[in-house]
Formats: sequence, C-alpha cells, structure tokens
Amino acid sequence: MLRRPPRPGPVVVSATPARRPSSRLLGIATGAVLIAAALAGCAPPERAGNSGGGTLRIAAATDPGESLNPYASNQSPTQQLRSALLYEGLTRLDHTGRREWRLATDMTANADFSEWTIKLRPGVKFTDGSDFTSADVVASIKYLRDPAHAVQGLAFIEKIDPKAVEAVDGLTVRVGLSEPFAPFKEIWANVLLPMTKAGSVPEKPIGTGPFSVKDFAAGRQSKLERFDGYWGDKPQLGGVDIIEFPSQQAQANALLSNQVDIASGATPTIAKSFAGKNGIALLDSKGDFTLRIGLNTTVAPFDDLRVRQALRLLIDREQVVSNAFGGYARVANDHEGGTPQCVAPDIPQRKQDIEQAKRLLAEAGQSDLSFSVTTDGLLPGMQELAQVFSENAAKAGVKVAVNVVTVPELLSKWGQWPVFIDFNPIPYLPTVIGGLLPGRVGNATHWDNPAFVGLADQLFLAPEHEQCAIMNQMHKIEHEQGTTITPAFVNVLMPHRSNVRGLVPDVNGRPLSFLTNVTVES
Amino acid sequence: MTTDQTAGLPPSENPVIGGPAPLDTVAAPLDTGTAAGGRSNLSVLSRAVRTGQARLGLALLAAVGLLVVLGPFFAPYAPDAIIGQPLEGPGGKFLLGTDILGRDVLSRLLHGGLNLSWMAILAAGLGVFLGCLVGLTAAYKGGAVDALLMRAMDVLLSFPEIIFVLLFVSMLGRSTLLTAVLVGVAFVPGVSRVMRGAALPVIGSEYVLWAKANGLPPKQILVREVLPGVTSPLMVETGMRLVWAVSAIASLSYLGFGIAPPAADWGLMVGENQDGLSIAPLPVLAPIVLILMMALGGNLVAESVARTVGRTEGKR
Repeated sequence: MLRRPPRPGPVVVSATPARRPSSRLLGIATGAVLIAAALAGCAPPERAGNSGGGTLRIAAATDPGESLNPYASNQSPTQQLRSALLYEGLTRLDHTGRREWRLATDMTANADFSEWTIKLRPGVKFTDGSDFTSADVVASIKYLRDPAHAVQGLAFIEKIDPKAVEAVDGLTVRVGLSEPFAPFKEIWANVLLPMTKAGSVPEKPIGTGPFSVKDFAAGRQSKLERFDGYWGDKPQLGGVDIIEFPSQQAQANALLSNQVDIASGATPTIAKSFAGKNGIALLDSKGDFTLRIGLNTTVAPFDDLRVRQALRLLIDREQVVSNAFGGYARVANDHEGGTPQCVAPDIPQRKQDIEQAKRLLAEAGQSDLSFSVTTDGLLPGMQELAQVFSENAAKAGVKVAVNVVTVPELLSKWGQWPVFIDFNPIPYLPTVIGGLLPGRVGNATHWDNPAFVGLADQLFLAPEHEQCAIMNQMHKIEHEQGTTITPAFVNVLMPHRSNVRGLVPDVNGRPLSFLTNVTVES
Repeated sequence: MTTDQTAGLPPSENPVIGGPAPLDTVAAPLDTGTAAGGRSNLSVLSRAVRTGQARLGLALLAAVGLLVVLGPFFAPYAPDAIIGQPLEGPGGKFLLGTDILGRDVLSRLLHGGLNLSWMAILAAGLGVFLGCLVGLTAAYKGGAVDALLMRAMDVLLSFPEIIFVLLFVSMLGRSTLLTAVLVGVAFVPGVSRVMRGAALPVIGSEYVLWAKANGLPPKQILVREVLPGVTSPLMVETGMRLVWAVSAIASLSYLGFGIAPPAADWGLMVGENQDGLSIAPLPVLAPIVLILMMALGGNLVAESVARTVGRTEGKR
C-alpha cells in the first residue's frame, strides 16, 4: 500500500522493512550486480577502530541508484539506514515505538489545530559546525513541501501551507496548515522528514545526526565517522561502514567470513542456519511490520465484501507464521498495527474456517473462484505467503496461481493488479494518510469506506488522548470490511557477530537507527 | 549418390564454422546421399549406442525418464501440500525431509521433472527446426540472403542465451510455453551456423545441381535432397541442444524466471531451498542430482554419436 513509482536504475532485495526500493530490471541486472558484489566481497573492508567503540561494519542491500539526499523521491532501505545516522527530524520513534523529541522540544497548536508552533532544541550543531536554527527548519519544510522536489515524504505533510511557514525567532517556527490536523506531532517521526542545513540540499546535504560522511560510493560502500559535536548522547562507535551486497545470502556469507559485523537483512531460513554457530547471534525485532495480500475493489469479484471475507477465512494464519516465516512472526487479524502506545483493539481473532468461506463464496456466486496473486518476491516471505495462501485456498476449491513478476513490472501496474502482495513497515497514522484513504498512491486496493474516512477525519481533529479509541474503531472497520488479508506481523532479523554489544530490537524494524550504546569488541 | 562433399572446399566453407558445439564430428566429411544417407545415419546411430559411454548415458536418461513419467503415481503427497514443518530432516514420514515451506521433498521431486522435460524437448526441437530452416535457406540461396540471414544470426548470437530469455520474460511476463519457445529461439543462431556449414558442400553436389536443373522447387530440394545429407550433424546438434535446454531452463527456474511457484520443478526447488542448504541439504541436492543425470545422460549419448560420426566419417 505504501509503494511508489520506481526510480530509474537497478535496485536490490532487502529484508529491512522500509520503503520500496527503486526500479530494477532484476534479471538483466543480476549478472552485473553479482560481479560488483563479488568484487566488493573480495576487497576486505578496513577495520578502522578509531575509538574505543570500534567501527561497526553493516552489510546492506546494494542500491546503485542511491544518493546522500535524504529527500530523494524513492529511497531504498540502505539509503534510509544511512540517512537515519546522518540526519535527524523534529521527533522520532524510540525503539519501543513511542514518540520522543529530537530537534524539537515542543509543539503546540492553536484552538482548532490549524496552526502549530514548534520550539526547537537549543545548542544543536550541524556536522559542519554551524548552529541549527529556525531558518533551517523553515527551509527544510519548504523544500519538503515543494511538489517540484517530489520528495518521498510529501504525502505526510501535505496539509502544511508552505506560505504559512515562518521563523518566529531563532528557535521557534510557526507552521500554518491548509486544514486542521491534530496528530501533527506524530507525522514528524519519520526518516523521510529530516531537517538539513538551509541551502545544502541536494548537492551536499548537511545534517545534525550522530555521524557524518567520511566516504561515499553509491552502490558499494559508505564510511561514516562519529560527529563529536553531536548534541545528544554521543555514540561509542568511532565509525560505521555500510557495505553493500546484492543478496541476503551474500550478506550472510560476508558475516560468516568476518567481513561485516551485522547483516541488515536475513530470511528466516538464513537466521535459522546461524543457530548454534559460534560467534553469531541474532537480533530479532518483533514489531508491526506487515506483509499482506491486497484485494483490488475495482476488480470483480473483489468488490464483493463476502468474497473478501471468505478469502480472509481461508488463510491458515498459524501456518503462515510457522511455514512462511519460520516462526519469526506473530498472527495478525486483518488490520494494521503500528500503535504500540494504544491498547490492542478488542476484536476476536479470525481463524481459518473453510466451511464458512465456502458458504460466503456460494452466496456470492463464486464457488469456482480462480485468480492469480501477484508478487515480486522483494522481501523474504512474500513468495512463501503467496504459496501458503494458494495451498490454503485450494481446500475450498479456490484456485490461486502465484504470479511472480519483476519489481518494475509490479510497480508499473500499481493499482491494477487484482490481487497482490504488499508490505507496510510504518506506524498506523502515516499508514492511514498514505495508504488507507481513498485516492492515495499507496491505496492500491482502491478502498473507499465512508465510515473509515469519517473516523480518519475525526482522528485528524482529535486531541491526543482520544486518538487511540478512534484508531481502534478504524482497526475494527479494517477487520470487518477491509481489502487486505493481513495474516501476520513479521519480525525483522539481523544476524550479527557476538562481539557487537549494545544492539536493541526496534518495534519499527530499524534497530540500526539506535547505535548510541553499540560497541564492537576486538 | 554418396560423395565426400567437403573434399577440396576452402577452409571457410568447412562445416564447423561458427558452430557452438566443439564436436569433431561436424568437421568430418559427411555422408550426403539421400536414401543411402538415411540408412547410413541409422547405422551410425546404432553403432554409437553400442559404446559404453552411450549405454551409460542411455541408462541415466532412462532412469530420469522413468522417474518423470511414473514418479507422480508413486508420490506420497500432493507436490504443493504443506504437510510438515519447514526443513525437517529425512525420516519415516518424509523420506527426503521437507522443503522450506514444509512440503514433502520426495513428492516434489517425483512431480518436478515433467515440466523441465517437455520444455527442454520443445526448446531443443524448436531451436533445431528453426536453425535448420535458417541455415539451409542461407546455404541454398547464398548471396545477399545468406549474408543477411547470417548477420542477423550474428546479432542474436551476441546475446548470451540466458540474458536473451530474461529480456523477453521481463517484457512479456512469465509462462512455461514462452520460456521454452524463447530458449528454443535463443538456440537458432548456433544451430543455423552449424547447419549452414554442413549444407554448403551438399548443395554443391551433382545430385542437387541435377535437381535444380530439372526445376524441382527449392523446398523440395532442401527437404528431400539436402536435409538427408546433413542428418549426422543434425543428430549431434539435437543431442547437444537438448542438454543445453535442460541446463538453461533449470537455470531460469532457479533464477525465478522459469516455472512459477508453487509448481514442483527441479530448478525451482534449488532456488527455493538454497537458503536452507546448511540445515537441510537434500531439498537442494536431490533436484541437482536429477538435473545432472538428465544433462549428463544426454551429453554422453550426443558425444557418442558425435564420436561415431567422426570416426566413421558418417558412413556405414
């Protein structure tokens, strides 16, 4: 639901739950990427260790089209990983999923939530040594809001009126909105909405993060060094090397051969294969990252709620967890997650019920239903989920073929596939804004539910303490009338060498954004 | 009508020109008689299969063939049924263990050769047929037609076969028939060059000139007079292309561009289960062994035919 049209150029496969990487002609690029990876793999990375914490060497997915621009229109997981270490936003989600202040220290609204005043953190320096001020925030927001820049995070801040963004004083910014929006604080906790030095983007972006760029070669390697002028808790690591590999198997091999300290992507099977291996441990981030099967409501018979509910009743969620995801997942209930601050909605868990599914299909006149589920297999578990669903559906006489296409093909017909597999790594509020409301690019099922839209409108105007209750009502509508089969919340797995200490799992699947206490023992 | 047509030909017209198969047979003088040629080729074939190498190849092919044809009847489970935990080891319930999704490896193996077999046969057949058509036409017509066809083949030849297939699969989508056809088309340039080289001396022979002089249509001359004279290299080429087709289609399935999951297919099994190689090697190794048996068997038979043709100069 949250994919975007592709950026030209080859891309890669990653298990990291992040936005869709750019376009790639997978088959044709395979040879070139393999050669590049082989060459990269042959060159042993330096083990700098220029401080007590050492240098952390991270294996990441190859992205030849990457850049240092944190506002680029289509960023791969690798680019986002690097951006999270170089740049900061006004707020961020901590590893438990709760919002915490970063470059902002407070945000207050007027009575109708149509104007917000942002107080900025004093004493923050950019990595070039200059002061971070309100002028930089104004410039960053205006850059982000300008459609000409086609930034990836534009959808989240489209209620901001760019003409009404102004610096009140050196550490205060006033932001006017085109319409009231209460959860304003929540949207800034997003790696796609960082603050950079005014005028530095896109040629040579300067951020305030705990690391700065020492060396960068697109598609190969990034060397970051600790920024000693960082305002917050300084990382113990002296540096971070992000080394790119074309596949998760290549990342695993690099880990085994001690070329890297951590693999940022691993399939459940790869993770299992490391079990019991000396010197290797597993960082298992349990979160609300979902892989789901989208049912396009503009294509019959998926416009029929009975058919959608029948298909939701066919899938064996326990089997999806154990067989498609090797146990590294937990059962979901046909609604999104991403609200760890809220009590879980009180909705009975949906279970496989073949007879009920058959009845619903018969009522809808679709007893002989047959269709294809399309996937590009970009992330671990996508093809496996499709195959488990196909096998489950056959029990009710529903024939489901698995259509594996290339990433560019999937994106080129985005919104047209009758049934497809998609993923969502982000919290609930941006999910609603970017993928569940009608007319949004991420809403590839074209779901348009008036009750859900009404609740979203309420959510956008509700004070903080009322938001959880509204979101839980929205989850209920997703569960009862939604257009996705969401069978599981999937863990993000990162095998690492056991001499890497201080890693913390992250509910949003980005544990490498939290390196403050990480050390690499020699 | 049997003549040694290569005698006295300039080196550039030697039948091995551009042939992808480094086979000594093709370079040998050819039996070019029509009726006698047919009998001679049958004799060459029967002599070739009497060699130990060919017998081993035939035994391997027979074993794989039996598995492909009869295997599905003996499979204990449906090939796509999820009946256990992923990557279970071999044991009483699952003779070869389970794969990455918890499906019975033995059942998938027993079902998994059929697609590969028919696709390989279709690809090799199509490649040889079209290659023959282009090669013989170029040799017969000569001049501008020859140059045009051969340069076109050179262009196609510049694409590695796998890349050629991937390009079209990416554009047109994936289907087993399309993959087989594309692999076949990818073989055309190689086959056409070999067949052109083999046909040139035949076309210069007296009986073909006689046929031309009597006004026989070109199609009839090519099919009835020229083709029987090039059956020896044709046999070798067919065998080799069959082996290469097995290899190419299995590779495409491994890369995810061949047979779509959840179908059972040997190449696909290798790709699907490779992440679990260190935990459960059988889901990867077992299909590799069968692909190897199929390719090796075909290779041994083709090479025996090639050697026999070379040794006997294609004669009885």
